[in-house]
Formats: sequence, C-alpha cells, structure tokens
Amino acid sequence: MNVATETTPKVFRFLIVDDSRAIQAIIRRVVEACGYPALDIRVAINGEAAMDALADFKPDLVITDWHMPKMSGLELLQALRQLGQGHLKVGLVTTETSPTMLEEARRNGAVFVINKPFKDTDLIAHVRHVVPVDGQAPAPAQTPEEAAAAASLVITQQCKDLIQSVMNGIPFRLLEEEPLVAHALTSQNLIGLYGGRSKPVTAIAVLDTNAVCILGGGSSRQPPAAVRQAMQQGQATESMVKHASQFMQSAGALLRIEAEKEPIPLSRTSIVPQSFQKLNELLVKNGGRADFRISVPGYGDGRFSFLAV
Amino acid sequence: MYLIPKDTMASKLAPAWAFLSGEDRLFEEGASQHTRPGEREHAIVLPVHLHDGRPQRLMAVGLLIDDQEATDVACFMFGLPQNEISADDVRDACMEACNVLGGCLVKSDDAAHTVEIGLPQALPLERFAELHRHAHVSVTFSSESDAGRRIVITVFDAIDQRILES
Repeated sequence: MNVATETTPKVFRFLIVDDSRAIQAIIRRVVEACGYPALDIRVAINGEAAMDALADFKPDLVITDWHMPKMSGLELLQALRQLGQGHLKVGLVTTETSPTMLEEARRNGAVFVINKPFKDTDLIAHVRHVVPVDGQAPAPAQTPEEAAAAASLVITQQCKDLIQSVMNGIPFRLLEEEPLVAHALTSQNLIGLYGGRSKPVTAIAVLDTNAVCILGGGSSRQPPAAVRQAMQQGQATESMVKHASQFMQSAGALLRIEAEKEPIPLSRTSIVPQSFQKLNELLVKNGGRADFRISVPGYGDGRFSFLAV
Repeated sequence: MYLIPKDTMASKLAPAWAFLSGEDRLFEEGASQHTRPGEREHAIVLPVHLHDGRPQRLMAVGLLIDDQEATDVACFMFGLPQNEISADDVRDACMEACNVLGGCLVKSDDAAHTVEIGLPQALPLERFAELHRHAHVSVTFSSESDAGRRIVITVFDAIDQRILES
C-alpha cells in the first residue's frame, strides 16, 4: 500500500530577549515579515530567562537587547560560549553605540549588532542574511549595476509620505515586502490600471482585501472596529474601495517609469476575485515592481504591490 | 563630552520618535512653556554614569510625555488598539521610549571617559519636579502637537543618585 507523505515546511525558531514587551512586539512583527513559511517565536525578559528557555528550545537565531536587568545581552553571549553553546546565532538590538563594547560583542560571537532606532527593513535584512528563508547560503551582494537595475518601481519613503497624508494621523508601519505571488492574494483584490502616454497600460496596482480596508478605511476616518470587521469578512465596503482607489490615483505620481515624465493617471479600478492569468504572468514577469506590507495597530496587516507592465 | 553635538540632537530625536510612534514630529531646542510635569503626564529617567577619572558622575535623560501621547506610542509599539492597551503596557512603552530617545543623545565613543547607560525608571511626578529643581539642565528639547499634547526631553547634568533611589 502506498502511503502519501505530506511535506511540512521547516519551522524557523526565534528567541527574542528584551526587558521591554513593547520592543519584543516590534521585533516579533519584523520577524513575521521576513517571509518564513512557519515560525515558532518565543520571548524572554532578560538573559537569565533566555538561558532557562534555551534549555529546551533550540532557535535558529536569538535576537537580544543589550541593557537588561539580571543578565545583559553581552553576559548572555559570554554565558553561551562558556557553556559550549557558542554555535547558537545571537544578534543584538541595542542603544549601545560604544565601539569598544560593540567590538566586545562581536568578539563574543554576535552575528550582528543593530542600533535602536532601526528601520524594519534593516533588521529584516540582518535576520534573513543570518537565517536564509530557503535554508540556502545567503546570495552574494549585488553589484551597484545590479542594484540600480533592481531599483524599486516606487520609493518606499515617498509611499510612506503619501500614506501618511491620507491616513488622518493614524499610526502605521510600512515594510518593503517579498514579491507578491498569486497564491498570496486574497479572495477579493482591488486592481488599478495606470494608462500612460507610452502604453495604454503602463503599470498596475494590486491591493489585497486587508490593504483596501486599511487604506480605504483609514483615509475615510472609519472606526477601527468597522475596518477590522470588514477585514474579518474579507469584504471591503464601497466607501473603503472608493478611498483606496483615490490612494491608487495619488500613487500614480510615485511610479518610476522612464518613458513617463508626468504622473501616470489611473484609468480604471476593479475588484477581482483572487487572481487571473494575465495578473499571474505579471506577478512573475514584469518591468519592475514594488511590494509593501502596511501594518496598523488595531487593524492588522495588508499587502499591496505596484507592477510595471 | 558625553553628549552628541547639540545641533545634531533634533535630527536624531525625530527618527527615534518615528520608530516609537510611526509619527513624524519636529523637536525644538528650548524649554516648552511648562517644564514641570502636568497631572496627566508620565515621567521617566534614563540614568547615565560617567567614568572619566574623576569621582563617578551621574547624569540623566528625562522624558515627560502626555498620557494620550504615551498611549498612542504603546498602541503603535504593541500593534494593538487603545482598548486592548493596559496601564502596564503604557508604562513599558514609556520606559522604552525614554531608553531610545535618551540613548540617541548620548555619545559613547569618547576615549576620554566611559559612558555607561543604565536602565530607564519611572519617577513619580513630584520626584521628577524635585529633580528639575535641584539638577542642572544641560539641554531641553520639546515637541508639541496641535492638540497641545507634548513631549519634553531634558538632559540633566550631575544629578544626585538619591533622587533616583528615594
């Protein structure tokens, strides 16, 4: 008898060590945005608690603060080495900037040191470099030419500024995200077509349901409960769609397409279920892209992408 | 000097605040209208020990933050709506806010002395006012929203350890 075997994704394990639960929450969100297929994230309040947790938890990476009561991040590194656990990867996230101290941390095996405040994208880059998503060795660094060729279709800061201008003071976090793939789309997505002077359709925008609810709900000043309800139901209201479309319209000015010198007008928007062949093809092969995740406290996360045709 | 140059401080505080709150704010040097704590404010102090060959000195970076402002910071950091944020969450977020804002003003790479950053601690408002009365203020930065909600960051020189202990 043949027995079908299911392949389960590798679970990536992280231990976050920080005496601030608020920072634990931020680092957890960043790790969740790294694109690992399955995660087991645990937390400890200081180095001593981390040592206890490590007795029966073997993480791929420990991300620790430096200044903590009882046992600091540096003392944690030293203790791990003394106990023969020096192979454990440990990265530090800290306000400590003294070169002498940072050198001490590296000498004791820290795989990275990143200072607070940090950009989410910087921590994501460090984490993914140390723990590659596909389990492979990290890719070599891009040459400047390759980096230029891969320049994003939309500059993140400009996108952040635009969102800030429409969200009526609602705090949000914008992350550069892994390229959107067809199976990650939600059941209802808002697609916008940009028609430029060079081609009838020069670019498209794709907002998943959550992004429509967040951007549309936030810009139309809808209460968090209404936005959350729409997200849970997977169905944005008409008003949310209308305001999200206005965001798309404004984003036309951010698209970096060489043949287009003026802001690119939005010619059409429509709600489409999941994906379709043309969109699938464009998600794989396009003339440039920018992929984002927007996160709003009390709302949740949504994804949106811009793709040059 | 154990502090970064004063003319660069505002440019360090703005991104630190954005990290904590997701909000762009300008910080200006100089005392806000009232440097004493108001009733609905949180006071936190980040002690900084200086080992520079002289008798050990203690300075501190103080943070005064409006309660609603503090709640907004907690919501952003925890990623939760206001009705799910506890007083303990707000306190935790305030302590980390003081740690990050204070930490970015301190210069640790001066070979002439060693700077040791301590752990942030919340102070009762009357004790923070006492600190203000007795300590020498090196520099103050403040930021006030349109709604009159304020954040005040004060660097105190040579403070008395007993104020933090009593």
